[in-house]
Amino acid sequence: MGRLAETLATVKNPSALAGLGLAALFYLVGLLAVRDPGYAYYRETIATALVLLNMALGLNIILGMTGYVSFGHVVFFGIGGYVAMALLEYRGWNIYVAMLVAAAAGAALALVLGTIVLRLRGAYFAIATIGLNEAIRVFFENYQPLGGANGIELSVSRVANLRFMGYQGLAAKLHLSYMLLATVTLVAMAMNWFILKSRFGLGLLAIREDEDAAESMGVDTWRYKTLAYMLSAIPPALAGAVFAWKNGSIYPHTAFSLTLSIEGIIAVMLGGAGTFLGTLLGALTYSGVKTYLLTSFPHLHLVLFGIAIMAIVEFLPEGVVGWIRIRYTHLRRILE
Amino acid sequence: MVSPELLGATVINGLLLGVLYGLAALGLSLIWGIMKVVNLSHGATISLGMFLTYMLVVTPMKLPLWAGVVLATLLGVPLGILFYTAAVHKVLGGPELSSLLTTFGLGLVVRGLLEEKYGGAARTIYTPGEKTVRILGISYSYVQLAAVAIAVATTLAVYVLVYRTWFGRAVRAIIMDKEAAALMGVDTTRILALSFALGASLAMLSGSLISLIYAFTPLTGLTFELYSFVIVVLGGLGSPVGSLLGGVIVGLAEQVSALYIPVALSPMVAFIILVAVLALRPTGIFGGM
Repeated sequence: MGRLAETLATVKNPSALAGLGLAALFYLVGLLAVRDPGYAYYRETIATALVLLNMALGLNIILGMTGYVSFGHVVFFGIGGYVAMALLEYRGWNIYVAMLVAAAAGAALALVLGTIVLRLRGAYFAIATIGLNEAIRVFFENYQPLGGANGIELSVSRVANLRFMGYQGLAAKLHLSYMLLATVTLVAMAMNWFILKSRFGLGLLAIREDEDAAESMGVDTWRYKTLAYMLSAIPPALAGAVFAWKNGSIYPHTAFSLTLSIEGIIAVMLGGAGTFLGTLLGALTYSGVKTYLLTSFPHLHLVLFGIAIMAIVEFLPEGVVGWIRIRYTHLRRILE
Repeated sequence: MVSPELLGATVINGLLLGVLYGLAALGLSLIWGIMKVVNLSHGATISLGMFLTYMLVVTPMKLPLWAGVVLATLLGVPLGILFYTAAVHKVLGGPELSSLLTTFGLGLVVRGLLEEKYGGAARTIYTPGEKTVRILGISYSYVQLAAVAIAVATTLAVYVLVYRTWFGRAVRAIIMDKEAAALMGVDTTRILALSFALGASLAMLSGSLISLIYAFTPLTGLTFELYSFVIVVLGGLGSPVGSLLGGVIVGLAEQVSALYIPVALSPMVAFIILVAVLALRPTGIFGGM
C-alpha cells in the first residue's frame, strides 16, 4: 500500500499539475460550447489537437520510454475506429461499450503484432510496423462486410435517442463526443504519468538506453516491451473510436493514414521523448502550428511542414523539454 | 482453373514488372546499406524523376525520350548531394529515428512542391504509334522492353561499381569501419555524399523509366517506396543483385497471386512477405554486401 500512496503523491509534481490544468481547460471549453455556440470553433480546434495528443501519448510509451520507433502506430487508431463503428452501426451498441471494446481490440492487436515485430530492432522494427499498417489498410479497403473502400457511415437513427445536457440526437453526439475525447485524453495522461513514475517505467527507460544491459540486469525485456506496446495502443484506439463516432464516418485511407503516426512521432520528439510535459507541449504546439500553416499557406503547407521537421530534428534533437532538462539540471525535478 | 497460357503470360508480366521494382529499390538499398539510413524521401525522389521526365519530354520541353531519361538521371546527382547536405549529413551516426524523420521531411518538401505544381491528377507520357511485340498473346511496347533492359544493365553496372572500382572499395571500407576508412585516407564525407547522390539518381532513373510506361501522380513514387522496403529486406541491404532478385520475387508474387485472389488484395501479399521475412530472417534471403 505504501508504494501506491507514494506513487499517487507524485501527482503533486508541477508537471502533473500542469497536465491536470490542461485537462480542466479542455473540459471547460466543451462546457462553454454547450452554453454558447460561439465557442464551437475553439472546441473543434482543440478536438483536432486531442486526437494528435492521444496518438503522441500512446507513442510516448513505446517510442519515448522504450525506444521502439512505431512508425505504423496509426494502425491502432484505425482498428479502434473500425471496431467501434462496426459495433455502433451494425450492432446498435452504445458508445461507452464500443469504446471499451475498441481499446481492448487495440491492445489485443498489439499483443499479436508485438509477438512478430518486437523481436526486431531499430529501423527494421519501424519498417515492419509500416508494412503491417499497409497490409491492414489494404485489407479494410477490400473487406466488403465492413464497407470496403466506402468505409462505415453512421445512420442518424443510431443516435436519435441520445441525450446529453439538454440536447438530443446529432447535437447531443457533437457535445458528448468532445467530452469523451477530453476524458480519453485524461486517461492517456494518467497512464503516461503513472508508467513514468513506476518500476515498470524505469524498466522501459532501461530498455531504451541499452536493451541487452537491461536484460542482464534482470529486466524481463520481452514482457516489458510487449506490455508497453499493448498499453501504447490504448490511447490511439480510444481516440480512434471517439473520433470516428464524432465524425459519423470512417474510411480506410484516412483511418490508417501514416501521416498521423508520423505527426505523433514529431510531437513526441518536439517536446522531448519519454517526458510527460514534453509530450503534452509537443502535441499541442505542433497542432497549433499545423492549423496555422494549413489556413495561412494552404498550398505550400507540406513544404513548410517538411522543412520544420528537418529543422527540429537537426537543431533540437532532444526536444524542447529535453533540452531544458540537459541545460538546467535543477529544473529536472519540475519538468518531467 | 488458370490456363497454362494465362499463367505463362502472368509470369512474364511479373518478371518485367519485377525488374522495374528492383531498380526502384536499388537506390534505397544502397543508401540503407552504406550509411544505415532508411531514406524516406526515396519515394518522393522517384516521383520527382517521373515529373522531371514529363517536363523534359512532354511540356515545356519536347526532347526525345532517351534524352529525357538521361537528363533526369544525371540531375539526380546534384539533387542527391543537395538532399544529403540538407537532410542526412547532420544526423549520420545518430539514432535511426532522426534520419527517418529528416528524410521523411525532405520527402514532404519534394512532394509538396510537386503537388503544388501538378495537383493530384494522373499524367501519362504518351508515345503515339509505338511498335509492339507479342509474347504469349500479350503486347509489349519496345519502350517497355527497353526500360527493362536498362534496369537490368544498370543493376549490373552498379554491381561492378561497388565491387570492381576504387569508389566501391572506399564505400565498402566505410561500411566495415568508418573511422578506420577515414584514417586510411578515404574522404568519408565526400564518398557518403556521392553514394547518396548515386542512390538519388537511381531513384530518378527508375521514376523516369516507369513514367514512360505507366500513369503517375506525385504519390506514385510512394507506392514504389513501400515495395522497395519489401525488396531490400528480401534482397539484403546494399546488394544490387539481391535488389533485382527481390524485385522479381515481389513482381511475380503480386502478378501470380492476382490470378487467385482479388487484384486489389495483391499489395497485401507484398507486405505479408515483408513481415514474414523480417520475422524469420532479418538479414534478408540473399544476405548483405
